Amino acid sequence: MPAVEINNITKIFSLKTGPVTALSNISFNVEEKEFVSVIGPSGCGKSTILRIIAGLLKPDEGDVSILGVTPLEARKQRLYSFVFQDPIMFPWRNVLSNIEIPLEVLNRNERKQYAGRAQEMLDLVGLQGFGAASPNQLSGGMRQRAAIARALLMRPEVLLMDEPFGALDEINRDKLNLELMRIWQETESSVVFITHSIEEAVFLSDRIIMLSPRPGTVAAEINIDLPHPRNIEIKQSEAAFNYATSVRKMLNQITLDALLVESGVN
Amino acid sequence: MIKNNQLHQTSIRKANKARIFNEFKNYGIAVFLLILFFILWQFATSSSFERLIPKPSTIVQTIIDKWPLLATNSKQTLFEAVVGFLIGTSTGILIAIGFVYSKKFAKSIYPFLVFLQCMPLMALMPLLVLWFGTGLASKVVLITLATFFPTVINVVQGLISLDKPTIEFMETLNASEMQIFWKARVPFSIPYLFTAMRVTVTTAILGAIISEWLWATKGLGAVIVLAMFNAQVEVLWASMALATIFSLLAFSLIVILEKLVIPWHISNQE
Amino acid sequence: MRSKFKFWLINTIIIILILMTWEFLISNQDNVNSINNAIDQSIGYNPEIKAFSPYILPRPSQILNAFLNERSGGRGGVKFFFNQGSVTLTTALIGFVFGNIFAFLIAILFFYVKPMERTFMPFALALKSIPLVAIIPLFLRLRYSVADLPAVQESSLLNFIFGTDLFIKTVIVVIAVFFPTLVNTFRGIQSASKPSLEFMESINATKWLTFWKLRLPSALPMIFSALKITAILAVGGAILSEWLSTNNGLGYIMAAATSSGMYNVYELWVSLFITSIFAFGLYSFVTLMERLSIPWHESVIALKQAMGDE
Repeated sequence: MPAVEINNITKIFSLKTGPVTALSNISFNVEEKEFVSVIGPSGCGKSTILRIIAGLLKPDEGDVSILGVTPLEARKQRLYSFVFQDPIMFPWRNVLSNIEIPLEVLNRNERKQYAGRAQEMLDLVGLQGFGAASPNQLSGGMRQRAAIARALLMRPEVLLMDEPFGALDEINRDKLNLELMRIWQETESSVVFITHSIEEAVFLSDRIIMLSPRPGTVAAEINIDLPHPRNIEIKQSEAAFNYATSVRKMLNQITLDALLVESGVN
Repeated sequence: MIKNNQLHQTSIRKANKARIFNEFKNYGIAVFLLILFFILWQFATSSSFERLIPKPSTIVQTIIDKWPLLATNSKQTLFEAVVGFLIGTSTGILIAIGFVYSKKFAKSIYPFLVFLQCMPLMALMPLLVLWFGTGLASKVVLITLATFFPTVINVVQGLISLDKPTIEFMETLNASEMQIFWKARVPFSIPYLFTAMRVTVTTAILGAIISEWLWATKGLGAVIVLAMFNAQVEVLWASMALATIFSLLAFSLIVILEKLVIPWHISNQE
Repeated sequence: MRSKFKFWLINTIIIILILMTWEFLISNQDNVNSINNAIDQSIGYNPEIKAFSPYILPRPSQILNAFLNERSGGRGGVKFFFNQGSVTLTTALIGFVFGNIFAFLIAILFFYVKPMERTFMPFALALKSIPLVAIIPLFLRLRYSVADLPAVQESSLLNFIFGTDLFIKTVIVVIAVFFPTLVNTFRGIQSASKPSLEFMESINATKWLTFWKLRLPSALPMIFSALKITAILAVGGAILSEWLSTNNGLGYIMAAATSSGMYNVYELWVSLFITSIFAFGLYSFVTLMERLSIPWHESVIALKQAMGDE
């Protein structure tokens, strides 16, 4: 059974200026323990897909399932976690207690299963000793690490990540990419990763889904056959560079095509 | 490397010192000026001028001499202020919650809020005296009205200040509407409540005094008006000085409370 | 546009219906009695005066009558209220205009003379959101005491200032209006963004040019929000100073109406209506000016969207 199954999704937003088709007939699967990135020019509806998978938005047509159940059911069974671009830390709680927020919707018995787990996750993401710190004292990169620790807290099968490193500078982003690979290999969950960085997508993914803009459709699927475990050597390898170059070429082509269609040349 | 670190430390210390010095400069000058002003006031005013404006020492002396009178009346005024403030703030919070959660309620209360915003509320006092008499009730109603509006506006702002990603985050955790409210909306709106209370606490005290101007027989405001008409300049100034002190104390109380309740808020951090 | 019209139409109809119900409910003594009994029974409230009476809630027709027809003794009637209203309005308007002009000029002074800001800004911040009208008794007492001095009675200028309440009332409104506008203007001038300031510097703009083309326009939204607040404060300050001062102005009528022996509830209601028309009128005038002069600001845009006329 695929971890995430997306069948013929269409999403229409009704704006004041009229209805806009954000996504049109999107289908793809994410297999178990697979890392899939969704990439595309801005305004192609990448985040919308992720929000539909998480059940935050409802598709107008088509359906989504996570490990065979609906998104809302998956949410109840805690099959997935969502990592937002903004790390979402509550400033009145310390870092450890921020990581424990998901436990507060559980009853006491369920909570017991996760005793000590928050500290473990904090260690896993390399924030040992920062549990008692206030989130305001952490850098942007460290806050995002804490957000990832929180997402992993309840051992989700599927991680949904919405440009989690989008607000970081390139140096920090590279560092966190390497960290994410290390963490992911330890947890072995499936990941749907939204990004607009080509290098990031190539380095992290087993497969890249490329979207075309307005309306968003799947323009291409690219398998990335780089060896595991991924490390800094692989990131700097010629193979990775070649993948990035071809993805960039395709993206440019897609953007140009869309522009031609819009201006009525075609 | 170590040397570098030490250099870094000293420069941080220097920066800290400069910051403290700057802050002192900001408030220090003001405080210094205030003290200078009082000294000048004390020593530059002749005794004949005291018929118009008494010296600080005379004011202090009057407060001491008339303490029994001033204390009983202050008690009355402060009681009105506290009751009105508590009722106004708590109804303000409740209305704000209703406003955010029910569109129908928001629509029906909106004209009333617009009216409150465009009306000099203190001017309603004569009507309130007519309706509720010259006793406690009319004053409490006025203070409630005056503290209620800023509270509603600020708390509504606070409640809707929760950004979309945070709501989505709570939703993905399968949190109920109630849990989102208590765990996220409420804590995020507390700083806004304090912003309102910083304003309304002085409004409550001075509003109580103003409401006593109309035919009240008890309270600091009544003392003030009687002293004014009977040309008891020292009593007038002593009561006004007490009113100022009460306002300052109440304001400081809210600021201290704010530091205790929301130490995490930016306004309370360096 | 249509929805806006509908909005006003519905509201007007609702207000007319409320006024009619009010009128007819109270004009019938049986109704009044039964309502009073119901209130007494349900909350056990039994004051000397019943909840529904002309004393508590006069009929709209009675209020209108007090406004239109003069009574013996020269009280009541359009002319009477026009005279009293213009006393209040003059105080409020002169105080509003001068208070805001002073505040604006002092804010600019504070901004360009740093030591001034350092020294006085903390006081302004502290006084900004305090109902300063509370000092009315001090000022009135001062005026009474000064007016008694022989030197004042001889000089015509001093006599003009201290001889009547007119001047001191205006001063009170000026003080009530001054601090919110001072602080907001100062913050507004300060609010110009750093990149845009750097841009002005890079094109070698003078201080004056930067002020007129950048600082003042970016201060306008905050200045207007202060003007709206102070419009209400000015009317309130005028009314409150009339509570305690000599015998004219709407504030005096209202205060006198509640004093024992002089109950004139109708005059109180008429004065209250006129006061709210003043406050609302001045507020609306400032809002109109705001919409005309800063149509680009988001507060105006949001308002337009809320009213449904893009």
